[in-house]
Amino acid sequence: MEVTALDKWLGLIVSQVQGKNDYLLKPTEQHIGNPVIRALHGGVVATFMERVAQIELLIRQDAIGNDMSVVDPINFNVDYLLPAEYKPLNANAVISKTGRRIAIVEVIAWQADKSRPVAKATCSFSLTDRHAPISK
Amino acid sequence: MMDKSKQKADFPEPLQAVESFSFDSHPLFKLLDLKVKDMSSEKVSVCATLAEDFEFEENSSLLHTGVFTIILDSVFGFAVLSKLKNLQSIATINLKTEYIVPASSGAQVFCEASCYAICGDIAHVRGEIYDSSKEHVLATATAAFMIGTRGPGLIMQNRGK
Repeated sequence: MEVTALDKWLGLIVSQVQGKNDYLLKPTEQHIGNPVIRALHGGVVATFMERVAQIELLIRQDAIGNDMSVVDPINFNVDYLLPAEYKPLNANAVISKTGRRIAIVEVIAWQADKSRPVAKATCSFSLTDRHAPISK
Repeated sequence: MMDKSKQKADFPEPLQAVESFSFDSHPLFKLLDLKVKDMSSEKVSVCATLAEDFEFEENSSLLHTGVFTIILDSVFGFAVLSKLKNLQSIATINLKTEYIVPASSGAQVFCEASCYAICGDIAHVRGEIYDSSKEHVLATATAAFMIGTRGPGLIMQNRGK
């Protein structure tokens, strides 16, 4: 898969271990929300999780047998469970549903201890092009 | 309806603190070129210029919708702070975002948010992101925040130091 500007900005690394995809965000200063306690910004954590959900669908599209040429976020719900420290952030994704037109993916993110997640999120995607062409 | 000027006098400290916060000193806010356009306890309006760092497809200037979530979470925080009587630390409990139209890099967008209710130590916020003409809604969101979390808040660093 191509490394995109966003994946570079997130410092996103995907590793495949025994059929499972592990995702990692490598933090930088631009990921910090509260500089006093050097906590990661909630929106950055959310962006990482949403991107993880999207990549999980792209990686598994052949196995699923769906065309994922469009994986367009419809909505995104995130619960923040613990403060995210200035440390690498891990994530796993589980595909809850893939149909002809939509997909739903659950993502959990954690730091030191997977049993104590930092955030959990549900992302819904449209698999069809629902937008008119946009001129720059 | 309360008189707006009276309300502002009632809640001066957090409002002033957000208004005087140096966005250029914050690497993420600087990247998004966040600028407060209007701010009261009723509504916060912020403009942002979308950086190409959020492009996520080859040969396309379309941006990942995550950039909207980053802006919404930030501006929602300002909306909560502007409603408080005293500066306190806050934290997002959860955030629900609806993505309607994506944007391209370089686009200017406006985010408007209001903290429409505070019940105990929970603040409820809603808001939208509009395109530069303010005619088209690009994303909407609702969120809940916890008021009075442990540790110093973001805005507090510029105060009393």
